[in-house]
Amino acid sequence: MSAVLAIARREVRERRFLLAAAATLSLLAWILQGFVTPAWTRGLGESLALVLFMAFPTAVALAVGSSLIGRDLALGRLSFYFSRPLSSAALWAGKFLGGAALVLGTFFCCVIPFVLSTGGIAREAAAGWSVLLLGLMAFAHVTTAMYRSGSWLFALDLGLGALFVTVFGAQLRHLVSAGAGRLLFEFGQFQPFGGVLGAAAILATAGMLAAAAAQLAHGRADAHRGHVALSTVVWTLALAGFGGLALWSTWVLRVTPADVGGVGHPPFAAPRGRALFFKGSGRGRAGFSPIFLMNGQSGSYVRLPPERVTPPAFAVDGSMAVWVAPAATWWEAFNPNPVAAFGIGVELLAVPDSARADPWYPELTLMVARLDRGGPVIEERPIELLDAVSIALAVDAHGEQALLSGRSSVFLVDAASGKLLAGLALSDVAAADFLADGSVRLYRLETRPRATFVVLDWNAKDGSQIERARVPGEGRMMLLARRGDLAVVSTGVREKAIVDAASGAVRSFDSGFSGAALVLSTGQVALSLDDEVRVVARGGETVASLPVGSGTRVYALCEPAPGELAVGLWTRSLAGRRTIFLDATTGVVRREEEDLLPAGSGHAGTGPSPEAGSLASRLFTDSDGRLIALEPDGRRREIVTSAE
Amino acid sequence: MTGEAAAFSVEGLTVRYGVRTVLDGISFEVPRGSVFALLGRNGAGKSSLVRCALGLQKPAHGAVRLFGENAWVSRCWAMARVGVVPEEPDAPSDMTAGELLAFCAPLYAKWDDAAARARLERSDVPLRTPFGRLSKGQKGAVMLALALAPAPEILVLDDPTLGLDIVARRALYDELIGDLADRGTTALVTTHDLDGIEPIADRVAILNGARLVVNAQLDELKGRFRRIRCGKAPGPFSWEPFDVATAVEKDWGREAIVTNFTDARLDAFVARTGSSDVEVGALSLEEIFLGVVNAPGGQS
Repeated sequence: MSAVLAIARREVRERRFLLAAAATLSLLAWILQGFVTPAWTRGLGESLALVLFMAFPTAVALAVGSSLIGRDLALGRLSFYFSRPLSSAALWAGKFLGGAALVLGTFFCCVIPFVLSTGGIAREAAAGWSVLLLGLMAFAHVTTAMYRSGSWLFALDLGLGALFVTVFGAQLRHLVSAGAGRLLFEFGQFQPFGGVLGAAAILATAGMLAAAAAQLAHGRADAHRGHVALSTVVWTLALAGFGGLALWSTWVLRVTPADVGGVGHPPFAAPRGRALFFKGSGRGRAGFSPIFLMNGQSGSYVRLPPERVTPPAFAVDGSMAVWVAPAATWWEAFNPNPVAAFGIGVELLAVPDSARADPWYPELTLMVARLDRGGPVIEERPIELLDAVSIALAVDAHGEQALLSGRSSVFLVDAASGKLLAGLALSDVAAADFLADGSVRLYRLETRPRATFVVLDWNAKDGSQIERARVPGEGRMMLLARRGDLAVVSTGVREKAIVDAASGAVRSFDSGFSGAALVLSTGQVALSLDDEVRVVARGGETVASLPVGSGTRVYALCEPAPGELAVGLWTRSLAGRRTIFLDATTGVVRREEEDLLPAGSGHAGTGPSPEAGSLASRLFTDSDGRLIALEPDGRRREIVTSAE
Repeated sequence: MTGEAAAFSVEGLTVRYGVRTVLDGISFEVPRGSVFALLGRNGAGKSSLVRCALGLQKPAHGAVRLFGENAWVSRCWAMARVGVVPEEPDAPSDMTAGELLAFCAPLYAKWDDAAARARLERSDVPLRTPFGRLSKGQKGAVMLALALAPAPEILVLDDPTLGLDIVARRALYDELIGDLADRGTTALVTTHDLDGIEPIADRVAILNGARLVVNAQLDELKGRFRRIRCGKAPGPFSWEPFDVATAVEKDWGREAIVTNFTDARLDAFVARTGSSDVEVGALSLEEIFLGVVNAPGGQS
């Protein structure tokens, strides 16, 4: 041990000027920040602190790594150590211990003024940065040792290095394009270096240090022989690492619905048919869950990259779904899930107009899923960059046209080719339906000049627009439910309104905070009010009522069978999860299911209310997040475990 | 450890650099307490042999054994009993002589720091000057001091006088002779300074053409290698029964360096040739070396 420390001390002593320089510059940055006038010196000091923090330790790591052993080898001085009773291991340990002390010492000196100017640095970030610096030191040693050996093997190393970077990058891109880009940074608890890249950096550092040990043990003072040992270890470990990454990636990306256990967000279910989109809980594989497009009856499914799924629109008969898919970019790996349909509102997806002119900005793709052929079949249609944040709102009855909405316009697109058929400059369109005459009914939630809900029919052929209803509101308005001509909208904190687009009539109700509503297949409307769930006729007359106790909230409503209303109730403590089934026309409670809540829908009010008795109307989740279909005979069927 | 009859032995040592064979199946032993001079022209493989002996280089075949153990395998253990003076002083250039002593001392079980400092003082080596700023002679003195301080059982000197002036060379040999006489250390010396090594070498080996062509006690060698001169006689002439390394014919007669001189052979030669003016002379080590490397085929 004393030999190791003696060598380490020697390495530090030989390069002690680096520590002195770091300390001096740090002191200068500190003085400039706090003790010198005029004020502009503070900015100068902060800039110096930033540059010191970012650049100086990096340069030191590269310089130290490239000279630790490579310089002694090149100058023929390594024989000095090997002519003494010093083991290769002791020499290796002493050299790299000294190098690490220098690198971390300069990092410590340089981080102090940076911490003073920024207020602190996370412990994980400091640890991650330290690992990165040690990795750079090891990398510098490996590359310079290869170069300084003067062997033709260096050309082979360069070729292998280029090949490794290419295949490693391709593998990472594969992960990103499959929607698992966040695992590069977020896998595990130790962030920001806890992801795949962090693990790779740690393993690569360890591997390069092991290669240096092999170089000294097998090559000793023989540069060529040491180079062979170094390269053998480096490329063997690189191959093993890449193989491990490839196997791990394959395992992660082949995650099944059974692996994710339950749903992490409300699913998007077709109002008719058996299709549903859902994203698993965070369990998945290594915390990764794609979005599954599944046939809820047969269990067949396809995996979709979360970054490439925005809220889908379904054909009325449930035979088709369309959505807009942005191309996955590396940026999304750094900012995981920016455009995912689950959990983020569309309004957060602002992209600057300059993106339109950016040739590198990814083109949008219209994804068309055929759901009437057993397992889902997905086709892609390139579409023009209509609006960088477009989403699909509706598909016509024949599956020929899709209506897309951007921030300031809506677009009619040919579903078969992706070509633009017509456009209308209209913002804040939250939902749409194709009408029987070929026109489109648009539901707008205007925010300016004041909050207003507007129902508007647009005929794309002649460009005509007919306003069917207009409801002023206060604050943030929400479309809660719709079916046919009826829509339910929350117009403010304590009011809901039923809007009849056919007549333009509006019926308002005092409401509690809860915002659940459902337009039933009978044309009646179920509303959650302060302390009851009330079923009202189209004209507003009360048909039935279910009292709800104080402290209990209505989570969601659904119609699992024609004329039957299911009311999902929960408490703040989450202890009282249950669903009450009642006759919607009489209010008579038929039964109660403990631990089940209607799964709701990612559509909220933007999609039409599911058909009574459809799979979407019978979807529930239990307290473990498992997705369960309640069959007409009352049997519970877990969706994901039936997956094929 | 195994028996240690020979302090240092070389067994079928072959060293190659690419397709070039520098040492081809060399074998010899260095008895304990002897001073073994390994001679050869530049590129003969002396330094390669030394590197193999110090465990710095792995031979293509064969092995060098120190105290009976493979030097490549047991380098760390063996180096505790070996002192080394390399061809090129290899100490870190930023360390002073004092720092070098302090660095090396803890690595050895025995370390005579006082003797090392005294040796440096005798050589006028400043203790606080970085090694890189010392003269060539001072560097050699430092390396010798570092080599001798742990009282090594084997001392390996790889052309230690290379580049030294005559004074520094003499000083180095004086130090060496004194130490060897005191402790009976086994020494392996490779050198081109044949005059310098001749007074202290017990045994001499000569490398030529990747092979060991001479390996003998110096006295024996000097007895076998002789210069013979004789006048010209009419008729056919040969040097039989002598083996001739080199032979020349001059105005006054003939001269040869023979490699198997004995009195009996001389009598037989005189009787056969009838020469009455045969003159036999002793050779210096340098003349022997030249005779060997210039001999037909470079071997004796």
